[in-house]
Amino acid sequence: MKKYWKTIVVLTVLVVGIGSYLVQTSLVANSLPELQIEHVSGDESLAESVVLSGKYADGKSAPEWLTLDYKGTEYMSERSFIEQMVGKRGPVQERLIDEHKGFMRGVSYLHDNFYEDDEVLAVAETSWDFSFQTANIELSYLKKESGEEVHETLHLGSMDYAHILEVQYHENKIMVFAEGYFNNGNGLIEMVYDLEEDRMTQNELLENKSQNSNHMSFSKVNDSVTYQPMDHLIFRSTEEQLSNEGRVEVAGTKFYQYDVNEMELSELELPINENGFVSGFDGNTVYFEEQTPEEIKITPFNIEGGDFKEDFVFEKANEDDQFMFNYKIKDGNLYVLNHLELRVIDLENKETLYEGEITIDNEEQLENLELNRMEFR
Amino acid sequence: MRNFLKLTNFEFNRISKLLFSLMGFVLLIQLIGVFFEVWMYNNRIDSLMTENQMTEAQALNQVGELSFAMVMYSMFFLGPIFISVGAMLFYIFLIWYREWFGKNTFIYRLLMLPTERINIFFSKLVTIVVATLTLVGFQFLALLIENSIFNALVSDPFLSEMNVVNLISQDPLISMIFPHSLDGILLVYGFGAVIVGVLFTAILLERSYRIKGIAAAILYAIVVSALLASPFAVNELLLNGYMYPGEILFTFAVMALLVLMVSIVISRKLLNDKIRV
Repeated sequence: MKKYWKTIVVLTVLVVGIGSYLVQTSLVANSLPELQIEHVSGDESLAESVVLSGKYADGKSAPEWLTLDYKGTEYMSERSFIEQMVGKRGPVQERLIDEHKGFMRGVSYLHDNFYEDDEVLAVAETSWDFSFQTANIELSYLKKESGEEVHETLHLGSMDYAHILEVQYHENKIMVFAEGYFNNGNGLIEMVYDLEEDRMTQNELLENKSQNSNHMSFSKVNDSVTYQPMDHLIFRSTEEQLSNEGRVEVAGTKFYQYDVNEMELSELELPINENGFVSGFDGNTVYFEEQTPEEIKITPFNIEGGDFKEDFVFEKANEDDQFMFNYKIKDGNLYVLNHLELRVIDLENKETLYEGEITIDNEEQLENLELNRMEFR
Repeated sequence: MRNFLKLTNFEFNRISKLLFSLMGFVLLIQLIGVFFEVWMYNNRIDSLMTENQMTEAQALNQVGELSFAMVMYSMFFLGPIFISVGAMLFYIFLIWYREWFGKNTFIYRLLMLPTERINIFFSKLVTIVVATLTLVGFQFLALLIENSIFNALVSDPFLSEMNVVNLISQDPLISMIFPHSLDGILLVYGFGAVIVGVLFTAILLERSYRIKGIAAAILYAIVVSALLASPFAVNELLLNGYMYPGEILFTFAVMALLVLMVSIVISRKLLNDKIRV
């Protein structure tokens, strides 16, 4: 035994040291609050695709990033080392990889650059061609039923780069909208790939028409579900100028609607000043959001009729905890997270179709919780 | 097996002096770091209260609370870790070369032992990996001790109490030493074992063919590096990102195992037939 005492000491330090580290790590993970979406009333299946995400920050350690769905809470730090190395994908990307593993190979990111309906899935990505020192758009298209795939490289021509804002599909045409950057400025670009004729056309919908050196940018009014079919799209051009004090100021904003069926762009007048800010769009209706200390008002505005519909008013929770509010529109329903309440409301008749409550195992930890993002799987 | 265990125990006895010295050194310097940071902080608070006529609350407001992070991210903490890493890297070479350049040419006796010669390779490999993990385990125990002493030294209004595990996870360098789960420990230190195996093969190539062996060792290291980098390079340059990250990681792990097996086969051949004494 005397011969082995050094080996025994070394092995004991190893086992006790590494063991206590792993125990401590698991104790820290267990101290994080466990959240649940509890069903209160209505159709539970409506909430199954909802994924809420945010952070838990108690100020004593780095913020813990979490996602919450009907199955429960998942903290980033609870993921295994291998899972963390592999990286976290968004819930939609995870679903698409599960459903179309072969097609999704090589797709590096999904944001506003894809389209999905019951029949087709299309993804557009900007790529850089090192041999010709030019940027291209890699377009991939899948017919879900037959499994037929099309992969095309769309050359950007005189453009240096294109930032993709939206992808749509209509009658065998894939439409890619992007903010294009040229040698002498930028513009809103539409690229249409005709699947029947195997041909691409490119139009500059809007160009930087600033008369002076002001910077102009083009963006899209956010749709709640970025990949769904839309009747219309709304784009925004923002002109920025440098003030005398050297600050960047917005000199003017214009809105444009694009009719996906007619493939036409026209200027859109939105009553922005008196109704708060534009916070959502579902293809036909713009949603204005206005906050007061007591409540949040969502005002729907139909762009075709140019008329307002009845407001949705949500009372703010009168508590000291972080105020959490988020809403999205999907399939004609308004999904609202108001503090700890998750509701699905029919946009037509304002009937509540689902009501859920977010519960936390330790109420004191609520003040450190912030859920600031809502997505659909 | 019995012979392997005896050889490994023999190697542990030889490394134990270095290992215990490193443990003592790490604990001592890091404890000095704890006392130094607390002393510096107290000095700043005292000088604000005496020279600037501030109240305790005003001084606290100006300087902020003291947390153990100040100790952990200082050179008093990281310095001994770097020195330990350097010592272990040096020992990877020493564990072989001492057999040739010690007082007696000990390699004669090792090679004459009535056991498979590859057991010498395995016992040295296990010794390096276990010694490294022991240092990691000891570092965590030392952290717990240092954190307790720190919390006892800093009085309540000035103390920002933080969990050691959280502090580890916030620093990319320290969290590489302490992966947060068992699979991470196995992956990181398993890969470390593969690299040690490759270095051992390179040393044996040199010990077998001397000058020519150095060239062979460099060539072997280049081939191994290319093999290990190949899953990432092929995916990016030839396959255009076709593989999912999990598949790349799996291919990398297979490559690393392959490299370890090749290293063992080459080392066995060298130890059995080519080694010079």
